[in-house]
Amino acid sequence: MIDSRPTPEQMLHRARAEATDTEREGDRGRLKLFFGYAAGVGKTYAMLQAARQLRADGKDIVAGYVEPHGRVETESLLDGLEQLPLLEVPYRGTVLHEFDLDAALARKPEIVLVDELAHSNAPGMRHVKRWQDVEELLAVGIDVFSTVNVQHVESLNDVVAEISGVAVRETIPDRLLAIASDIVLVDITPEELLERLKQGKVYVPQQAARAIDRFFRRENLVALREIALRQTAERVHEDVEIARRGVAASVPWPTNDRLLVCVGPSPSSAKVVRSAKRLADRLGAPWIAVHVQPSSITLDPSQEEQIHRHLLLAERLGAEVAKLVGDNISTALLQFADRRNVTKIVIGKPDRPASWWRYPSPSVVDRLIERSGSIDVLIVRGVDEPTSVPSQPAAAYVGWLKWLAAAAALAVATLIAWAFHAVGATESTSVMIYLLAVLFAGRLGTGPAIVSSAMAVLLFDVFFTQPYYSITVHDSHHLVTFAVMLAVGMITSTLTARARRQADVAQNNERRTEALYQLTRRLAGIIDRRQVVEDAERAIAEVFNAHAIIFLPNERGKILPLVGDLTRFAASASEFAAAQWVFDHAQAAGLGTDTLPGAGALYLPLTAPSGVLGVLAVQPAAANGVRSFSDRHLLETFASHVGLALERSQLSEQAQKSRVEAETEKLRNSLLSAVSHDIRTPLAGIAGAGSSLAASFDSLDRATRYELLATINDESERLTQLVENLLHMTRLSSGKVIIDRQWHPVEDIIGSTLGRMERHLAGHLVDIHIDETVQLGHFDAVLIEQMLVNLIDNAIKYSPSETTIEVAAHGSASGVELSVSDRGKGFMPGDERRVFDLFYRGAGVKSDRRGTGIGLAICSAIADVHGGSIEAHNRPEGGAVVCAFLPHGEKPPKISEQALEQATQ
Amino acid sequence: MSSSEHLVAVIEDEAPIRRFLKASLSVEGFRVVEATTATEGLRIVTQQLPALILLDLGLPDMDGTEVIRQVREWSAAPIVVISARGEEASKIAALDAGADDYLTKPFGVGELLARIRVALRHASRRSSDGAADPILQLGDISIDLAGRVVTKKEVEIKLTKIEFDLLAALARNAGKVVTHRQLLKEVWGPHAVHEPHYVRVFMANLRKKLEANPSRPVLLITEQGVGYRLRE
Repeated sequence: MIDSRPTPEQMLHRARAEATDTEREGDRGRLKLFFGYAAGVGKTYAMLQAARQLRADGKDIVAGYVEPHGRVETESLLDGLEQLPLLEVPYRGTVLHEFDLDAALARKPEIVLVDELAHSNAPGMRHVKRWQDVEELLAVGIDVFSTVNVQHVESLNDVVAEISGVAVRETIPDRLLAIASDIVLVDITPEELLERLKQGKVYVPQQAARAIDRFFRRENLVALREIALRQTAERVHEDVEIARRGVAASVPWPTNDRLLVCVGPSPSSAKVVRSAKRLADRLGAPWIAVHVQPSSITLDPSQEEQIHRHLLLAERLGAEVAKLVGDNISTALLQFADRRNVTKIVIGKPDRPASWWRYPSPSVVDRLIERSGSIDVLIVRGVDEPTSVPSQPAAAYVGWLKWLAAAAALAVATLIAWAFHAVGATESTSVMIYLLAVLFAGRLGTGPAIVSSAMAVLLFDVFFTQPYYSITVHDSHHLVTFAVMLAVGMITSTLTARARRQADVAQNNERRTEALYQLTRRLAGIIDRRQVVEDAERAIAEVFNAHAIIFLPNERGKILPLVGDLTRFAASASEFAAAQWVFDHAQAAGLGTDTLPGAGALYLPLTAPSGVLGVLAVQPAAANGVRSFSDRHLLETFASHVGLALERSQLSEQAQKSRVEAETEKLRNSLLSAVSHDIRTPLAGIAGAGSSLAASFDSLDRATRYELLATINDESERLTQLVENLLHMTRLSSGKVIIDRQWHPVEDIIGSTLGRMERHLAGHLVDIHIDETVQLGHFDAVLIEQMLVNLIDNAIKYSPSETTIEVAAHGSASGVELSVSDRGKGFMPGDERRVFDLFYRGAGVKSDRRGTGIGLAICSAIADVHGGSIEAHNRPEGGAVVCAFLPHGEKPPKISEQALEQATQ
Repeated sequence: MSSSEHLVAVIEDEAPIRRFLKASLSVEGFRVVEATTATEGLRIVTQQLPALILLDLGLPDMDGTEVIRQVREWSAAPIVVISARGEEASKIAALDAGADDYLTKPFGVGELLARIRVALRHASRRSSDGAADPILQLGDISIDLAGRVVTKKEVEIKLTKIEFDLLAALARNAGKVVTHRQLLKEVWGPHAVHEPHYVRVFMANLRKKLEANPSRPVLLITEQGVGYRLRE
């Protein structure tokens, strides 16, 4: 929320900056404001003097824009100051000179002078207001000197207008005063100012020339001076407070109060909003601006526009804004107030009685007071402000059409009634037919409904009561008929009209809620970034009847559309630049905003807690499509949902990555521990045997020497096996192993494995069973050989010598099952699954036979990379069996030996 | 055959392995010349013309296959490569580039000497015109390469043409490893080099006819991932 009062952070920042004047602090630039109560007090002069002083001190200072006062004193001060060239903007036949923001950003001096902070930029520039340019300069760390008059301060704007009778339309948000690190009050007495004016020393912008006489009256100037002094004094007071409490102390703010201000379409609402802002400031309280849209009333576009303006004003002044829908304004307000712990409600005094059909509850204020309970209700006088609402020809046309339709309905009713009348139907029939026409008119709106009711009575009187074709009524009971007819007509038609409007509002809300719900639900299930973007683009395009494109940053922070149909989108370099600006500044820009309003689309940042993740560009298919306040808010809601979804997908990508990293890390740690123990043991044996041989070769007898040599041999073999397994394991678990699957005769692989293990198998008998049906298996022979080596090695380790080890192969159409079984003690109950875990060593195994806990894990990994499975269990007759199933990765080759033979004959 | 006149070049960057090779070979009567890099190795091979080269594939300055290729440009001296398990692809590349045999680290002295002897014998047979020794006797099996007759315990074994060609290809290189590719090329012709399962299927058939227990072959040995070897 933007608040004109400085946040504690801002104050701390400011305090620090002031404490160390020469030391630049943080990234942001500092704003120095030369503040005056009217034109001509010498703000520009004071600013230039200060600039010259600093330049003499060696500061890098540049004049970005200085109002051409045409006065020698002022212009002579510019001499010797570096001046940035001005932008020339052609506008309606003349050329406007504007401050060149990009030139200043490119030049990047320490300090830039930018006169007239409240100035509105020429159309087509990046920002609508000059103060936005200044904010961008500050954001990149450039200090800015600027000037401003008291009447340009947003929250004081109306007070000044009331005093001076001149409304100033160029305003700056109060927060600029708050973020300014220095405010220099430039002051002269009103008499002196009037004297200067007489001498022609006051520069007056052309457009204000007519207002000048009203403005420069002595009593005006005195009052303005007081406001300016007061404003400055308040600021000084704050600074003193900070100084008194100490720089580092946190600054507690009275936050017990919370204000709520009601905003309506009435132009006086602006005044109410400003009053609320001042009150909130004085109380140091947060405030919320709320508009309640009664479901029974449709606002015309101009009223919507007004409400939109008032809410935007409140937002600019630092309020949180909300739109409520409810039948009863006071109930909706009080419920909301209750929910948000509001202590004071500010509402405008109705400055004219509202038409009864527009506000069904005639005194919202009365009911609010009556039912507010512990909440204070403050009623402030509203003053109409001039507004410039563009006319709505389209709406007017629709209005005409409504009336035409109502008239047609009445005419048709008259004709039908006439026809019935001609065949002798009673008067009540005619009454019914007219009521039908009135009911129809009710669907067109309240106005047509009421007028149709009256017209129906009149027509009935003229055509169907005696005397015909005359308004006069002879029969008095007809007067009762008229009264009843009018009452029934009015009630039914207004009810219909109301029901219809309610249905419209409900439908509209329903549609949006549904759209939001759908989007949320769809995005909730998606992890893939691309899918998020595609779905969001589609949903937004449907709901807003617009082209939607989502831009995401690449590695270098450059914004690019990920998907999306660029052909339907105005994809010019300037649009891309707009998207980039929004990404860099985390602010909305483009169509319907104050920044880059000339762009072809509205650009909203996709923000998530971690920052800006992308930009949503919306280009309305119909003009004015995204401008309405509620649409904009709905769009922002969509954007934040998309932002969150993008963040989630980003986080899940990161999580995936870190999970892999964690697993690799875990494996690395396990490997280290395996290395430290299982490698050291055989190494100790080798080193011990080797060193004793080297040290006392001659004194050892022959048999002992051979024994030691055998130890070296055996242990190095054990080490070899271990290292090979470790290598296989790391390679398999790195996920980078490329398996070379080919068709091998199963017998071949078993044979080569047994061949390799010949020496180890010496003490055991080996039985081989290969099904007749098994011919070829589809696998990586090196890996499967390793698997069989590990399985057979285990069988040797865990079964007594002279027992049989069985190696078997069974075939099926889908793959080959290889199994190795022994006649040892089998697995401990419950170990059957865990034996495949890395570094799991079976319990109850004699320590000299303990394995490393890698062998079976590798077997499992090898089965995995073949898309197969492995399992261990005990045989009913005793002993363990491990079976690996290896599915065929492709169709087995047809091998016709005869054909192959013949081909080479 | 006496080893005393044979000079063996050891191209290996690991000092302990060089030490072990030198010790083992010297005991057997070989003279040994050492090189620690491929460049140095190529130089001594050119200057001293060794009878056999022991080449480590993992040299720091050049790919082992490239060394073999350069030696083979002008020399037919047998090359036995040394490499680790899990590097089957580089072994095949070395063999296809012209190496005679390979040793997988770690290896014992017995294996080393056996490989060296086989390689030297093949080299000497090659130089004294390969026609010698048309009948190969392996245990109770005799293979008459010229007459295309194979007998087991004096009983003729009927082999198909392919089976015989395959056996003959292995017999001509008896004791040496022959890669799948080399076998395919020799038996089926150059177009068949992409069908390695042909070899496997026929090898299985050959084992059924020649081996006492085809599941535990003693004659037709599979060098997993590389090729086959006919054990002498």
